Amino acid sequence: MLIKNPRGWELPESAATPESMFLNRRELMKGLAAGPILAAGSVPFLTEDVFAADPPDPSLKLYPAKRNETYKVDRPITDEKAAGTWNNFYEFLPQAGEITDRAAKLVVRPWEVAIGGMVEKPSKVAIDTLLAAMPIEERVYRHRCVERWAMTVPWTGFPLKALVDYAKPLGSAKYVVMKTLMDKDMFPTQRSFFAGYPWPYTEGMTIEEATNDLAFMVTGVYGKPAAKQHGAPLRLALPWKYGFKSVKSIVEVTFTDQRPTTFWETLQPREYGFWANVNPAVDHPRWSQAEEWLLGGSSRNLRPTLLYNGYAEYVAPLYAGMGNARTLFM
Amino acid sequence: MKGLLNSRPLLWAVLAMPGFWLLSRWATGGATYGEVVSDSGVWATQLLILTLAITPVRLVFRRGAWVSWLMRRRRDLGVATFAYAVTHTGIYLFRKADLRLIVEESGEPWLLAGWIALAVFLPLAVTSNDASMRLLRRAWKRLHRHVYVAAILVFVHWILSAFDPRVAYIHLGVLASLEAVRIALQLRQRVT
Repeated sequence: MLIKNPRGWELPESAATPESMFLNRRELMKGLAAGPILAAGSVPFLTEDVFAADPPDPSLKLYPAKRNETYKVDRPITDEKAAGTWNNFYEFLPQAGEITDRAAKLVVRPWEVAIGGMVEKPSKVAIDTLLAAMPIEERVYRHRCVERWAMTVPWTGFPLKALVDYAKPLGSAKYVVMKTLMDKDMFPTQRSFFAGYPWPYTEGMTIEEATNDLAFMVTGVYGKPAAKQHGAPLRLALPWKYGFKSVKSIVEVTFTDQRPTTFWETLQPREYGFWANVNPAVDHPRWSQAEEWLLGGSSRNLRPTLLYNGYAEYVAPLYAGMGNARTLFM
Repeated sequence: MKGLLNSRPLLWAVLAMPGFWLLSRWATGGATYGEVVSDSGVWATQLLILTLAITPVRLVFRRGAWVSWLMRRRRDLGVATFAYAVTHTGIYLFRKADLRLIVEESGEPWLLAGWIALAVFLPLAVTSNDASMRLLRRAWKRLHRHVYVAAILVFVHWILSAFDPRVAYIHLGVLASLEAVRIALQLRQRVT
């Protein structure tokens, strides 16, 4: 694990210019420069550009959050740049790859999350209101993609159990369903050749899985608000399952008593199922899951994949009564 | 007009355009490795399908002058297919830039299929000229029928490597339909 002992002269990153302001400095400057011009009313077309810039992230003060040391990993944390340039975010690019530029289009404020279905009182909550009500902490988790790449990242967020408690589901609710934003302007794949896919991206889990200690809602990565390609401003992390279960840019959390049919299950039920627990002994129909390669570094860094991605002690009891069915691991 | 239509340099300029566009977008940061490696592979496969479409098209439209025009361009399209396959491989090699690693991972089924396909394409591309045709006589045709082996390997390579192989299946469906037409007509017309 990387342990940084800051020296006296080292500023924490959070004390410097907020990243969103730094990243959008050109827009800010344009805004400043455009002020007097706009006042003169000569180039109104500039306004669009000025207001398209992201405002400073209102959740910045939450970072970096205190790390919960309960969840240990035996691997170094993946280089931030590597983790931020190899992403699966199908709404932006229908394959794994570098999507930073495309993801810049995602507008993460204002952002509302609709909580509904079998709950005491359906509601819509603004992301920052929700964050203020949640116990924010940092956890270092492994992440294993069904396509065999893996990383180890410090997520910031709150236990999904806290969100379930906040939502007050009825006793009859058995599943939690989460959906990604549907927006053809922001997501090129939703308007492309793939427009006929069952958008929005839908994922789900049982209430027992959702309230397991490991299930985590993510709002930040590497001690700051999550980069957009990671699924800002709110995504899921179920580290014992393949990555496609960890739905990104969530706008809807619904409680139901019906097992949902998920996005990939609708498209390829024999390859990407509902359970999708990591298991090196159960191959994907088209490739082996025995090994994984770690993002970052100069060469292909192969490691053996572990049952439940190394989290068996936390989650194996969830499936104790279900035998060793193949469907649990695909 | 006729001169333009029969101009080989012009045909090759047109065939090269997507490649230059792809590589320049990569060089300028307009496209990422994931996109260029995938797009170059798709271009190679589409050119392969186009090349293999010429025979069934000829069998359906036997009399058209444009059919013989296409027939005369078949070898060019085949060589262009190979050029895109080489570009696709080159992009991968450039990105990996580590011989030991490339050899190590070449044993994986999806990469192995790609490498064998390229190896099968190589002698076909090298002999796609009049001199080789004269030299090899009947053997030329037997050699060039290996393009079907390469086509199968190309699809194995694509389907095994894709998270979502649906686009590959669509291409495979198009090629399979073309081949079904070819085989049906060849059986009926007793020609090859």
